[in-house]
Amino acid sequence: MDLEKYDTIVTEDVLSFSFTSVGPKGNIQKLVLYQHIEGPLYNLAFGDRNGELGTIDDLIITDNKDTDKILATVASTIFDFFAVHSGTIVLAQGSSHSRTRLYRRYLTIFFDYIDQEFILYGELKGKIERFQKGNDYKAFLITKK
Amino acid sequence: MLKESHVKAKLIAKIDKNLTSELEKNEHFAEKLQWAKDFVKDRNIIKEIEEADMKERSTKP
Repeated sequence: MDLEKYDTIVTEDVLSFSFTSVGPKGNIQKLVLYQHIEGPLYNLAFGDRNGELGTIDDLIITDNKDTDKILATVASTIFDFFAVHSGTIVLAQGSSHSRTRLYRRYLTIFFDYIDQEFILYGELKGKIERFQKGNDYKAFLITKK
Repeated sequence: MLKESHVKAKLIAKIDKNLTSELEKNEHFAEKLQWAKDFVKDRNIIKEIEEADMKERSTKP
């Protein structure tokens, strides 16, 4: 799948990625982190980067008119992460219900592509199941096939 | 080690040694990590995933 993406840089441990969103609101630095939770579990955290103050989360809607490109870039980091950290499971949740819904919409659109390399799960009413289009999941988990 | 360097050479992102030191200065997304820890607390996520896989296999024709 040939989606337009931003160029990314990554730390040597391949856990932290950074890229710059370019749009009408200016250049906004983004950060994608794979945070170790426990055992093989990692959390995918994503948001704006602020050099002075650290980071702010994705509750801030910067609306730089490049959502598709940003999410395609975030998705590209998953490939790099799993290339180095095999046997892990990544957990992801938006910082708000609407953001989680946005992620679900994109996961649904790209499900057939994702399904070629990864197994996607959703959490619904406290129960984890294989991702199915149309379900209002609270969180997502992804692992490499 | 050779294998790891081979894998890293094929990454989409470019490894940046400065990024590591830049990010060490601050704690990032602490609230998100806490949410994740709360999510997995008192749960066996691996077992839940295995059960989801078993269910998928049993319902597939």
